[in-house]
Amino acid sequence: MTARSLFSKELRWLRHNAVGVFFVLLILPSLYAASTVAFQQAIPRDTPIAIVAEDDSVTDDELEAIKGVSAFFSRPHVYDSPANAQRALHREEVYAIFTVPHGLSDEDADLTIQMTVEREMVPYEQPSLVIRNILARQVSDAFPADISVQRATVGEERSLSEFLISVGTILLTVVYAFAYLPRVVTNERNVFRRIRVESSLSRLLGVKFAVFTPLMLLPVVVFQGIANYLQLRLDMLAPGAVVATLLTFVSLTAVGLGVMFLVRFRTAGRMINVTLLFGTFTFSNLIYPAGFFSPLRRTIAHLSPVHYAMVIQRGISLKSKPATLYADRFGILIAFTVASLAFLALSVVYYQWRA
Amino acid sequence: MSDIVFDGVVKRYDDVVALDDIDLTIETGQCHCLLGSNGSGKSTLLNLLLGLTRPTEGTIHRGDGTIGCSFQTPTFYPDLTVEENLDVFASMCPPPSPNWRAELVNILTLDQVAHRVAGDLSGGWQKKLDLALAFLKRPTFTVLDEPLDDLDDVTKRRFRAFLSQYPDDDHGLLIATHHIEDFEASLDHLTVLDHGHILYDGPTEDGPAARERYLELVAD
Repeated sequence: MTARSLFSKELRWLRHNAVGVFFVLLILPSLYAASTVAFQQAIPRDTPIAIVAEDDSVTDDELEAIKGVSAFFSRPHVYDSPANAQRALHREEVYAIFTVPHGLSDEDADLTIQMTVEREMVPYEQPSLVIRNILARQVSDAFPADISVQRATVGEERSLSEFLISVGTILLTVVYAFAYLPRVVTNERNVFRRIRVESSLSRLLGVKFAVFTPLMLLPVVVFQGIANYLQLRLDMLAPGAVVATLLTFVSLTAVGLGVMFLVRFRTAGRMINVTLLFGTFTFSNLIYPAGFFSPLRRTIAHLSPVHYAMVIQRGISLKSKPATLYADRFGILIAFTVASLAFLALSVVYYQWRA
Repeated sequence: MSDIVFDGVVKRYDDVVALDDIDLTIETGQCHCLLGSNGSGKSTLLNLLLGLTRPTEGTIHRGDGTIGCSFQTPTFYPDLTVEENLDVFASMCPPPSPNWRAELVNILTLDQVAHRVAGDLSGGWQKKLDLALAFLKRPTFTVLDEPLDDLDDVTKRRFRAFLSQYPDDDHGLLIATHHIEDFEASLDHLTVLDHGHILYDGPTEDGPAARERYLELVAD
């Protein structure tokens, strides 16, 4: 009889929590299953690469011909100068540069296409060797000249550990923003009515940001301390890298809290934030270059401000590039932060309006 | 002028009319009791008074006085100790003097649990903390929703005595309750709400007459 009563209770609970259960057991699996279409292959066939002329003698037709050949295993873009191609490489707009010599159609020519990659992009090292081999085979089949492909590197050699510590800062920031801080604020929601009488929710949230944003420096300092101890070459405390991390924290936290206010701190809010957390991990290409797995993922990554935050943070802390190289990316992050805070403000207004 | 005035206030939630054309004045120097059964509109009226929700129609003048509040469900920072909660809200809205805070702590015997985490306390202690926070700044008006719930008999007696002394030229009380007999001794003004309408609003007679009048009104 007791079991029957408890069974009856569970059925009633299901009825009262139908929306949450529906989201967890139907929507989440659907999202997961649907998102697998973004994983089309396990080798990088859509990474953006730059094609640039070795000198002025290279014709547009030759550049277009290499572009056509490269399109089988990458997404090529022709750049008008080596300097612009290098800039794009450091900004992760492309992950390799193919420098094309003149004379592809000359049967007697003995040519070398130089493929340049960054040594700091550790996960791209092995794939770039594969791409070099594919390119060598493709150009020898496509052109009369005797063409070899030479792989060259720029930048400083970095270990996978150094690369992953750089990534870890943004990864943890995403966790804090979508899981930790919304949880902290949810725990305090019972005091909101008194706060609204004695102060205001916007002031409460302003103070939360004022306290927790500087606290985000602690994990950065910890990462730098461990890097120093392990003699890894990273500059996590470079001002530009710190600003990118903190802007990411503020913007994503605003989104996470906005969701919680919008759903009035119901369980559904936590599930939405968990979905956003895993979605951000999966689709921002924090570790692998944009273009791995599918063109769709490249498109999504290029729409994600977190992808740009990662590019900035990695560029400054791992590649030692100047923050000015990423000025427009900072602009994107700042605009996203402003939009996220506006979303939070509107969510709070809605929360109070529905009270 | 520090009176609180409801002028033609209507509050609707979708199709439900929670309060309908309410005209009401709450004055200093009085212990004003708001009576009504469940669903009568008491909580809506308190929320409107505290600015936690907005009227659909009409206006509420809160004057230039301060307002303190105690909620039916105690409201404080659960992760902080009792003393830390008092510190936080005292810094937000300072008490008129250190003695005032000490007097509140003494009346509600909060010194016994000063260093305990508020969220871990029993319902009675949580209610006492909530009441202390309501009076902490010695507000012009203190709004109390079922203030004696969960309190032990000794604390009830002490707190009732405190309440009877609170109203003066600069201070007033608004108490929402089902239990009029708990406040009969200090009651000055009675408002009876039923289904969003005011059934009675006026001074109270002494003694048990108030309770009888309330029961008659609701029964009618």
